[in-house]
Amino acid sequence: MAKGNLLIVDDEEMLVRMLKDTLSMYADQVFTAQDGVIALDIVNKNEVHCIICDINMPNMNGVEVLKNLRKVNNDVPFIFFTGHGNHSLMVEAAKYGAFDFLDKPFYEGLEDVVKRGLVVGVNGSDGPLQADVVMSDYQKLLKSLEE
Amino acid sequence: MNSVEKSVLYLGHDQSLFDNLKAFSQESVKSSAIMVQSYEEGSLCKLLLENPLKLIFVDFTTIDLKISSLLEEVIYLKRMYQFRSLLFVGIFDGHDYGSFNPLIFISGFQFSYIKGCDEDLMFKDTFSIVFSLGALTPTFARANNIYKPMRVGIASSLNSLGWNSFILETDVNPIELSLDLSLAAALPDLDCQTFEIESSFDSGKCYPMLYCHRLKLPMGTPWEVSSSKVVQEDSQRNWLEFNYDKQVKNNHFVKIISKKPDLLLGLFELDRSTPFIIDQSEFLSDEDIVGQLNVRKPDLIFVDVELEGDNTIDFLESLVGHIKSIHDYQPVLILSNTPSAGAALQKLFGYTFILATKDHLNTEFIKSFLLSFQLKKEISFQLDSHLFNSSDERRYVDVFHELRLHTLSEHEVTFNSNIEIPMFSVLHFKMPIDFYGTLVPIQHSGGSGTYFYKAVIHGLPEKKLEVLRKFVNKIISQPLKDLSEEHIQDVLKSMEEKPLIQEKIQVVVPEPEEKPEAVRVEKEKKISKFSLYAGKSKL
Repeated sequence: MAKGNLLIVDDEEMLVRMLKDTLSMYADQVFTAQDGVIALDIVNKNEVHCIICDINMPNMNGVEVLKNLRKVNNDVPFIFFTGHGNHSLMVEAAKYGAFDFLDKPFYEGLEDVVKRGLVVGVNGSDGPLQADVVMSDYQKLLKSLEE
Repeated sequence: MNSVEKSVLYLGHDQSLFDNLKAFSQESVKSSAIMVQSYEEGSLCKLLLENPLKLIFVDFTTIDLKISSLLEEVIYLKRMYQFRSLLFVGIFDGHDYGSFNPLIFISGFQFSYIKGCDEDLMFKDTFSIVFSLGALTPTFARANNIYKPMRVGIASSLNSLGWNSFILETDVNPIELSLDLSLAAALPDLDCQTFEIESSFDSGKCYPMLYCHRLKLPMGTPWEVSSSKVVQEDSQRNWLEFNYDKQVKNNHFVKIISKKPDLLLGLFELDRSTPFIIDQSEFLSDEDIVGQLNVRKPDLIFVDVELEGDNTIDFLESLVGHIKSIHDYQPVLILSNTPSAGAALQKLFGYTFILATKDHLNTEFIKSFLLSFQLKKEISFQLDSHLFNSSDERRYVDVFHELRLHTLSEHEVTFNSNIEIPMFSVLHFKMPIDFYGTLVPIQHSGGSGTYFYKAVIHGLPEKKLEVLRKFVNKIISQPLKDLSEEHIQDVLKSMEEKPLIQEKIQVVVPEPEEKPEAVRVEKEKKISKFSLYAGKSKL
């Protein structure tokens, strides 16, 4: 079964390398980019099923990358790295469709979030609204709280 | 106003009454009236989706219906902010009050009229309120300067009764932390009339009232001899067990925030067919969020999100902020039509119980979620309190309040009150005869220190109206000593012995120049629109 392709976007080269090492086992292929323009180019030329991207980058920030993708109807799950003082960017990202926000530098639950993002990206999230899907999310939520 | 706009509905099949209504509507507000001859559950929702209705007459004398079905629908509609200003008028049979039921006044109806009485007056009273037409009604003989204290009932509703407390929905927000009322309909053995308020909220819970109070039942100690002044825990728990089977609703609320009007009918069906109490709003102001969340505490809040505008994010932040500020309250927020996933929104708003979907909200989704939620949370009827059904007559309660009567005519009554009573509240007067009156904006500015009100009398059958007319005429010529029951009875008795003038007198008896200091009223000032009234209002 295809795991899907992942794109990591961050201007910190060391971090990108480390993330690639950590996450490559969950994806068929991992692409990396150090800015938004390169990221958009990679998405144009390749099939990408999930993106993790720093929300605050020089030149083109993560939200601009997201907006550009949504403009061309690309619904790829988009995970943001965020930090203190990024609330307004998070609000902006939520309007265009954020899959999750991960706190830098802790990346709590990184692997799980990426795995979920890739599953949604590969299977597609479109289709009829199913109450039991949302209900099942609710049950998972309750379970995670119990744990 | 657009001449084709249909803002008046007559539910019934009295063609002659409808023709008169239609003519009055056309002439006074250039609006067409609609006649619908039969009522089915959901009829009002359907009609409201198709027409911008403002005034609805329900003719209980011709419509073949279970009053409970109609009341359920009116309550459902009036629970919603967008339909709060709808004015409902019940038309009843005049023969010994016939089918008249005071439950209508705690279910969203503001007026009642008796078939065969002055139709024109009914139209004038109601149209002048809804369409801000100013005073249309004729002047009636009026007894002035009565200035006597009088006890009235303010129509209120029992929401639920527990083993040591009860919840009352009312338009009264008292200065003192107690209310005078009788629970005789629900607890016939209890003879207590003053109940201490435990907590109060600025919003109705299930019914179209402006306040909700939790009041303490006077509990007897286990070794105390049983008396009519207290209730014993054991007997109260037996009462709850006995009433358990009669429950159709539990105290679980579901809030839908969506601008989609087409959800209205589907949600009514869910409200009717599930134990949940459902309401829909287009949007909630900060004030509404505080009022409604505190009192209703919905378990599930569905929000149809429009994320393009910053307002929605602000609204959601405000909503979540209020939720987090309420102790021990964690409802599930289901955000639909949002491009973002639940996890992202949970982190954005700092609240764990957020679920999200990209799809638009629809009743099928809400229904299946409700059923799953009910099973998951094992929501069932509670044995520690009984929620009264909307058609349970035991839920009607008069909250007693003393006011100072100023003037009385067969059409209206004016008085002073030391507490604010919201406009369009329904009052139950017991003297000189039993009648109901609805507060309407007055054409005087208020006196200082107290509130000055006018109530329009309605729903009196011709025989009772005649007694009231005679009484007014009598006290014009022979002022009352006081408003004690004995004295009123004497006056009524003397009227039987000596027939009085029977015709309507269209003359106002001039008020004397000197008035008691306490009730001096400022110079009359005409106001043409009730919207100018600055105080609390039910509509």
